[in-house]
Amino acid sequence: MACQQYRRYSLLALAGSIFSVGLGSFFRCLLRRPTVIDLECVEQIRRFALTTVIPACTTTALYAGIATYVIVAESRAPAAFESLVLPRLGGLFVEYVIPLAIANLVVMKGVVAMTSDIASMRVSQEIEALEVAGLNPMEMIFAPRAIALMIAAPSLSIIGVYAGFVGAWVVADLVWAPQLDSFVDLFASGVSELAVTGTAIKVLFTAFVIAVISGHFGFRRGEREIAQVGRITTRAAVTAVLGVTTVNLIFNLLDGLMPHVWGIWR
Amino acid sequence: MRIPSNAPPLRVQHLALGTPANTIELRLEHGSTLAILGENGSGKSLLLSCLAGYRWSPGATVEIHGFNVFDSRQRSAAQRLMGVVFQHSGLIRNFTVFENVALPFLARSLTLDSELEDKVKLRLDLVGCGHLLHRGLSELSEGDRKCVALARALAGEARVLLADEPLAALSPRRRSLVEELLVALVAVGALSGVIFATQDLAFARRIASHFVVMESSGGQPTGRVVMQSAGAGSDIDGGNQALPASSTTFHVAALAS
Repeated sequence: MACQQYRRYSLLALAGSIFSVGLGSFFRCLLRRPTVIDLECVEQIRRFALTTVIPACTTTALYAGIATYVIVAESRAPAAFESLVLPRLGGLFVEYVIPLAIANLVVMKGVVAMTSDIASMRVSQEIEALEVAGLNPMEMIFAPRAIALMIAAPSLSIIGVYAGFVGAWVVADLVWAPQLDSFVDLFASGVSELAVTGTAIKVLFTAFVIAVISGHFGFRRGEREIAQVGRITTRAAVTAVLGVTTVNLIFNLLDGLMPHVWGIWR
Repeated sequence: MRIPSNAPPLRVQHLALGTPANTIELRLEHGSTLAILGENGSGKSLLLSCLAGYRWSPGATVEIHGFNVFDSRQRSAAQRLMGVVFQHSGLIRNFTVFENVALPFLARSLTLDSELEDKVKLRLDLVGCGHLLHRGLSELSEGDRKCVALARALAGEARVLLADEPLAALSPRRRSLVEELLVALVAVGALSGVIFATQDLAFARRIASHFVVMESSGGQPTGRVVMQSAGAGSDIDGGNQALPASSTTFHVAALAS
């Protein structure tokens, strides 16, 4: 075909729109002069948080409960578990279990919703309508959803720490009924502010990668066929899982290397 | 924005929809209404999407009042001067009717205020949908959506209207209302030109001053234009001057009768 469709939505442009809309919205909200884009951002954050908070808490509690059960079952004596394993359990959850649980949830909810939304908007010519009206679809449609994902995911990871604790406690109580006070103290001793901040940053970065992948598939791979929407969404979800794994791997490698780098630097 | 006084509402040069050998050349003068006709799959919507500037063809020029939609520096000026009614209405799903019709105004200020409401209500009243102002899109019928899309296309600074099947899904009463509206808007000079794609020959004959008939082959657009009537002051040229005697050619004879 001599006639071609415009390919305007590069990965860089998608990433740039998140920062430009995010910063713009922040200052406009500070000045109390919100635009429709800012209102859409707020609406998307509210919608994402409301529909994800219960599944997020349930998922992290389940992950933590199962992990606790596996560890307790492997331990020969509850006393050894309490003195040796439990002090490290909180840190283990915060650094590895919670980010993975939240990332999986965000992939399922965020990628599927965002990609199918954008791809179906392409089919129903909503994207073209915005372009013709002189509005930027990346700012009007993509950025609010991406910002919602990037704000909600780290917040959910912090809530997830508490849900994870509850899950671990329920399983521990069923298996060997430890004292709640000592369980809380030992569990919390492994959780540092630095680890929680690190987890929030990791989840934030994961959400950013997931959002850009969703935008790429929604805008660039979206065709005019409604039948393509499901296929594009599946591909986006698979790519996002790969993205989450890669981001986790990079952060864990950095985490392992940091003490050495710190030692060499000192 | 200053519109060049001598520039025609629409000028198309070297636009290739199918093979690069078949190019479309069009020039539409002020006050003209152009109907794009053709079989299913003949490329009517494709031609409209190129005129609207969201598809492009290398080496082609599509000018709206002198602003080239394929030139990134002139694109926004050209798009500001056109209103588009899409085949699938293209209304934004999360927005209300008011917010959808206000979109072209939002491109300038991005704030929804009470002054906008009057402007939006006026456009909706023109298409008989004033009562739908604060409705959500899920509450609208297909015909209502088409009318709201038309109201949105008439918002902003639109001087040229591009419409894909503007009467599709409309009731007979709404059809005549839209027909009268389009004729009146061109007659009073509110619109300098209307270009629409349709399969409704009777409608095309009633309101169009010029016709372009697209050719298809095996359900695929060939990009060839079968030239049809052009009124005074206008010059519509096709890549293929002679009418091919192919069965895939649209019913040109019916139009001419």
